[in-house]
Amino acid sequence: MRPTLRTFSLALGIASAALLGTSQSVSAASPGPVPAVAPASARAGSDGGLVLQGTGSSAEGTQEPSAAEVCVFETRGDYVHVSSSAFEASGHGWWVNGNCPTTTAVVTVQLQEYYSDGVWRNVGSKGKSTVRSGGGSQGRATGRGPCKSSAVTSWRSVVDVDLVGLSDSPEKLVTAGRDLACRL
Amino acid sequence: MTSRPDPTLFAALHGELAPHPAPPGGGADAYGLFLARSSALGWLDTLWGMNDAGRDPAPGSRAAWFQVAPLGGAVPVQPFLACAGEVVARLGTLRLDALRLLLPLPRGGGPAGGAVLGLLQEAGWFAGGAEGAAVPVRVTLDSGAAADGAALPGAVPALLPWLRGFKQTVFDCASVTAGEPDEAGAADAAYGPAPVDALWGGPARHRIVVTGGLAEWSLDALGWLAAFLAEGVAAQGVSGPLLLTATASSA
Repeated sequence: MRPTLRTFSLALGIASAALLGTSQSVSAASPGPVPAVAPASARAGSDGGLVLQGTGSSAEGTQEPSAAEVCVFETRGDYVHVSSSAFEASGHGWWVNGNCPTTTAVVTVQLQEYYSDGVWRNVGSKGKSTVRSGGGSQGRATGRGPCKSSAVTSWRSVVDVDLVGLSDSPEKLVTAGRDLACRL
Repeated sequence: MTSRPDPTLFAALHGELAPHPAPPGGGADAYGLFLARSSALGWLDTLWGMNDAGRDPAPGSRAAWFQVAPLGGAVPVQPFLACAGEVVARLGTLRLDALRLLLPLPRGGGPAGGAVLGLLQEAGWFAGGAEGAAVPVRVTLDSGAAADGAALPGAVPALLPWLRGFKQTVFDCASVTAGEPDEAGAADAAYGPAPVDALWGGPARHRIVVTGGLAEWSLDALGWLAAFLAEGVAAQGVSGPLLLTATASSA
């Protein structure tokens, strides 16, 4: 479920800072810019690297939950990489439950490719799975993007976790950029 | 800004895996186990970042495979294979027949490089091996079809004296030769397709063959040997990455 907790979680200092930072995500490439290698300043991911702490609550509506009603979980992801068996980029996302009163979450993974105008653009097919906590091949979502050439290009992923039956903090994990021999 | 992709470390373990009985509800898989173990040992997000791991659904020669993104410029092949070995031991009992390894090469390697001296210290691990454990091994190294891949066969004359020039007892190098033209096809027939070309500059083409005696047939020893060969090849000016295939003649 979606978020009523942003202000509260930031006040608690539990959740990480704004994670999409200065990146700009758009859903379609404009004709001018082309895929490129990102400079170092554009490659950093979320503050926690490949992990992001979040909070959830069963409080309903816009009412802010008390501290006792807040639970914690983590959003996790791996580096976007070229698959060993198919000429495509892929990245995984999953979640780790701390003490939230739910057994499943909807995990989505969106791959992004860096463009010469400094914009990370959504590419490929978004992965979406309802999974239990913990990861592993049965407990993760996978985003994929086919490679049209092996030109070196920067890739990253954006991972979102929605706790089933609970409200949760809205921040998304952004993994660090990787230079892959793959261009969409 | 670089025009080279970030390195990838990939290993496929070939052989017969007799699985342990699965607990009710199914056990963890290769990905989850590798992630957990490398995190517990402090290697996750320090030595490497996770990419993927798995087992092939159908019975075949590949028992398990692992893929990570090395971090910080090092090529942590020994801890990588040690972690893979622990994961496979958690899944079952493996009779290892062959190892296929996608091996990035260190940059700036040389005869007096600190990494080589570190390997000589790490060779002490094998001093405690069982008597008679040494096995003859055959290792092929392929640098792919790219134009700069031709540097690998050109390194043959200098590589043998380089490998024999260090005082160690883990690998007794017998020969270094240029590979035969049909070597890649034979390897693919035996072990399945190599990792996709984009990961290493494939398809297979420029290759050499290294033979010798290895202290023991284990992933630990193969990890040491792979790191040693990587230093030796890099010292000859080869930039890699390489596709390494190791077999024991007694396997």
